[in-house]
Amino acid sequence: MVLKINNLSKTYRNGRGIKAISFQVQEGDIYGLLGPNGSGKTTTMKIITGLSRADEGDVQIFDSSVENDGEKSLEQVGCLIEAPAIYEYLSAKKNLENAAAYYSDIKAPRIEDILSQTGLLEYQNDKVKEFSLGMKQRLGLALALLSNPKLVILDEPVNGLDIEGMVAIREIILKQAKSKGITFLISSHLAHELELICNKIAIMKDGHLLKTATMEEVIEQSGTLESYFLETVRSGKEKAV
Amino acid sequence: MNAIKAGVRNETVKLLSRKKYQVLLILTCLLSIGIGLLGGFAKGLIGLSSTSTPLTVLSLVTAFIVPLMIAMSSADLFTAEQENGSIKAVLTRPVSRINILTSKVLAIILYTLLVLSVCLVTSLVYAIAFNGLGVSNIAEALIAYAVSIVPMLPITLFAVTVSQLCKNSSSAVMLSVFGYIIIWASSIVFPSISSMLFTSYVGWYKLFIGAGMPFANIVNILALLVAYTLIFFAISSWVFEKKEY
Repeated sequence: MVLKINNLSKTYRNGRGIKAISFQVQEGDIYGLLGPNGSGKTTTMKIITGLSRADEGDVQIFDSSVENDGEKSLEQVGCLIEAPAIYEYLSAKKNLENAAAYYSDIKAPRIEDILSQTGLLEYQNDKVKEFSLGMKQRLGLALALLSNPKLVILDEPVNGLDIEGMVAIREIILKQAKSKGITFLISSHLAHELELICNKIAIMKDGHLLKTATMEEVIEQSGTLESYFLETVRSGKEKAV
Repeated sequence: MNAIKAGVRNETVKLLSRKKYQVLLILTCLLSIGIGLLGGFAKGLIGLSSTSTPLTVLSLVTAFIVPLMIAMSSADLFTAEQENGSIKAVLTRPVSRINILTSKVLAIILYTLLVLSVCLVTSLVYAIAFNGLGVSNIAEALIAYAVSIVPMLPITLFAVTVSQLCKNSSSAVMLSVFGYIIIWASSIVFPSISSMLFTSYVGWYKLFIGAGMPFANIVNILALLVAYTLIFFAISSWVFEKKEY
């Protein structure tokens, strides 16, 4: 088991949050969290990566508890939560070098390799503040993939991107999953985007996880993920998983 | 230990990559030369002596410029990074929060040391070249600059604590500076509490130069400054540990 989320709950002061979220991600999965804005996707991902704390419940990454052993649980994880966490006054290469400093086995060739894979090699010495949104997103992805993680968590990775940008990000994810067997957990409010890359899906709404299914089941039942999402949400009868 | 080493390196690179911190270094260099020139022209009229240029520069820098610079760098490394989300770049790495905090604090201290070194070298070179500074004065200046980092430690941790409590970087700088001024002013308005305040000892290097060294006094002040440093470190690390992003 790569990731095990057990009964996760968190309530913010405004009453929003997540309620009793449970799901599991197996090795090799590209697992999608689909839901509208405010459904609790980012909150769930923040708790998984230790940026936020749950009121109740537990997260285990490769059998290490995020709450009790945060450092160890993040050793095999790369992530991009909300906007890419980058220093705009540094170059792309410097941003990657800074991140690489926390891993003893990441050296210069790996930095060059990931810059090349994300199409940023020729811009490596440019300051990030001069980058377009798509380039920043690709750098965010490069930072998430840099340490050769076994699990990559991406929160709305194509948010705000144009068609070319979305395709570029999708291709990088699929290539990494296929060539390196990386497990992905990806959140989005774009059903079509998740349908193109995920093999499993969880539907979230108003802080609840309504349903989980394989993409095959989704297509078999509803034809498209979008229809499946609408059916799930509209039915209103499904109990939280 | 490796995580702290990597963190200090990263945080220092970040500080030195920013134009304002490069400009600040140049300004302190120019200030040292300016005070040297003023000392030469004024000939002691306004309390400046050309042979004591390094110590005059030190007094000015530790009382005003370094505290301001510490407030700025703390706000940039903590509050601003929280504001723009870039702090997640390190929070999502396999590094403990206490190590992240320690790295940032050490980077600010390193930058403070750099500023003091620039002032020392510039003022010494000026004083030796134009005022014929003697060997004993040089030794005095070296000792004074070396010990002056100590009263900067509680000021650093004070600014770091304030930065943890603020939501935007401008208010963090303002609160740190105002906080420093208020504490400093309190020691003037209420002289009886002056000896208990950490801001009263920015010029403690004076205890180390001259004929006699009041050993007991130095130990007492050192204990007070260390206590303030540890208290502020404990508060800031508790807040940093509990914070959600």
